[in-house]
Amino acid sequence: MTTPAPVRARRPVVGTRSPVHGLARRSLPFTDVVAQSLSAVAPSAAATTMPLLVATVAGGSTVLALAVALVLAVAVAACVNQFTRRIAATGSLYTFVVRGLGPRAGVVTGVAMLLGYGFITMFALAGGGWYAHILVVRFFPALAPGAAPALVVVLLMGAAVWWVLLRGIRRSARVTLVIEVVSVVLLAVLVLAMLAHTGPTAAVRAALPEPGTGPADVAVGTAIALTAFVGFESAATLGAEARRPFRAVPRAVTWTALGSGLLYLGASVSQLVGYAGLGLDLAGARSPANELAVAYGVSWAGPVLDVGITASFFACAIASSTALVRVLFTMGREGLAPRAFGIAHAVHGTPARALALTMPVVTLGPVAMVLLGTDLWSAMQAILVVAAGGYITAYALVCAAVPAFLRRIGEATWPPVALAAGTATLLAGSLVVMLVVQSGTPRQAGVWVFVTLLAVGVAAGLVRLGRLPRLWARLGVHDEAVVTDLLGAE
Amino acid sequence: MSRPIFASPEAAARLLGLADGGAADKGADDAGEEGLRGRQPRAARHALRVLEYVAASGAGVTGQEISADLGLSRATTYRLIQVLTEDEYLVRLPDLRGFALGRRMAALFPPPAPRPPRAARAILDRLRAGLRGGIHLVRLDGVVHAVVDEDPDFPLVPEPGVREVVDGVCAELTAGRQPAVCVADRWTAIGATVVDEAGQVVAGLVVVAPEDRMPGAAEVDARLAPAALELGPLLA
Repeated sequence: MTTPAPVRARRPVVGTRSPVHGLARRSLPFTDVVAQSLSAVAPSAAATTMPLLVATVAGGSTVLALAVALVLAVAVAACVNQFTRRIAATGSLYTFVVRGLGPRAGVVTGVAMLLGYGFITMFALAGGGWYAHILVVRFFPALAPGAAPALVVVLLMGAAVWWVLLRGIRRSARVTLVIEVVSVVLLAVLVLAMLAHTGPTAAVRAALPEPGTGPADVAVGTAIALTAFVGFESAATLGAEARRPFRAVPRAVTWTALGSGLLYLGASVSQLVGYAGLGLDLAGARSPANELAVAYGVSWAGPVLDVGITASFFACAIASSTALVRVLFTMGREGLAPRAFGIAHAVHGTPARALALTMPVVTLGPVAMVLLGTDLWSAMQAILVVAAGGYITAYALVCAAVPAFLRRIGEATWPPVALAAGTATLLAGSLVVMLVVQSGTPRQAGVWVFVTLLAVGVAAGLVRLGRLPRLWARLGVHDEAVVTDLLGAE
Repeated sequence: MSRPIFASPEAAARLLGLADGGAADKGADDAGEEGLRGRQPRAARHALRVLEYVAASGAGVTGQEISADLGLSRATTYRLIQVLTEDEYLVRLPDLRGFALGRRMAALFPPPAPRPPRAARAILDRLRAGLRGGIHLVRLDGVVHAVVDEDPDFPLVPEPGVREVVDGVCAELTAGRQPAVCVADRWTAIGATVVDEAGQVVAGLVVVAPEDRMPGAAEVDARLAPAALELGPLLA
């Protein structure tokens, strides 16, 4: 250009190195980004277990609760994408909330996410043990009584997850994608076959809420159903590493939320229809997909599904713990958590210290609960309440952060702001209702664990924030544009 | 710099906001097939105006400023910025408010073909002194074939046939066939390639003359070949 560009008053300095240098910047193709979100959600495991868990709390309004959860999840995805379209982050929601509402709210979000990711990992390990036990009993009926086989599987899976994460096996994401796609397709075929078999009227009758279920049932059901979606945002942790992150990450987040939600709706309707056809109640089932497969004469599908679901739980454990240690690692690097968490493995470049602390805890957690006298299925339900509390808190905060963030960067328009405010309100409401209602059920231990851990974690974080003022400027680090990204700057 | 501006037609459509525009425009007709419809031509023009505006005002211009100065609605502006940032034609700066042109835009500005150095012009002068006919030097390694040194005594006249023979010879030379001869109407062109050390074609020496005045092909080639050999190290 011959004429000099007008000099701008505020021109931000662009560095030659991104603040998150060291990661393989702009390298991951879209499939790997989707794989991260999809395996964190583990839709096939969730589609077989979640309708049952929702049915135990929401009774006749299972489908309604799932539908509300689907709408909420897509709304949360839209809010999260207000950030993922503009920031390439590695700390996901935690980074976003720091950018919108500041470090204090960021600390709350970070602790809530740690609870969510940590307890979902526990849930996935326990679920893997539960379904592996069912599979083993098919071939060795003598092993049916006792929890020992399931616990052995939990320990083995915990060790395997640790090993995979320590070795930094990126390919595992592709493997889990294949496992997930195969089991989702199998499940979708069974769902469609079941719906074709019973006809549309039965499906509609099952989907409509039964008389006698109130808004509170729907709210609790929605809160539990939301846990089936959690993890869809985890593609946002790959912002720095994804190729074309501002396109790939938002798409992965939206598609995962929408696709898994539709699968859950289909699965829950078909399970309800199936059980109604047998004259049974879904809430009393143990393993609905199996029991239905046997009752409707396709018992060969049972073991195949068990393998798929166990694998799906394993994938979920890998993806959730990946996100868990990544958030801890980010906090360690920033100085919010002890520095040791930010130490990477010398050879594999993986967050080894964070792994060494978290993996024993999340693996031994469910084992200890069973050894203390709870059965594995009840333990899983209580664990899920903690995870749901953590995730919904984080989701509500990230939605609440959208208006502030958009105003801060001067790009606020009313549709995203209105959507974010509405979603945050609904999420906060369903969180409160869930905690209140669950505190009167056998799952109340989950409520107290959630409230206690959140309070302790937030207090510790805020104390550290108060003691180390330089933290204020350090939180919320994300990948930035560097000179080689710009035209004519290098 | 002979990279195509767009990797594919889809990439071009994405720049113009067409691929996503179909889904975003509620009630817009099916954008699946080729061609611009409805508000799409305007969206394309707006996207290009945004790029032009960022180029003119320099790095750091904000979405609000773009919207205000171009008179576009804020929702439209942010959506256009979104599409352009997704594809990295625009880059959001570290303050998260400002924008700059992305490196990807470099593909839209191929550097102009440089004037040949003095040593090369001297060779051309000698060649022109010894051979009747217009002798032109054409760069063949850019995005377009560009005449970088036209014969001042026999310029390329806009007569029927001249363009055809020059184009034809250059196409032959690019494909690696030489000596290349092309005849159209009453014009003839003969060419020789100038190559770099790896044998890649960088330029062509093209002699253009009316058919009846062109010396024999063998004589022309005997003159062109040594000159082309000499030009290689000066142009590659």
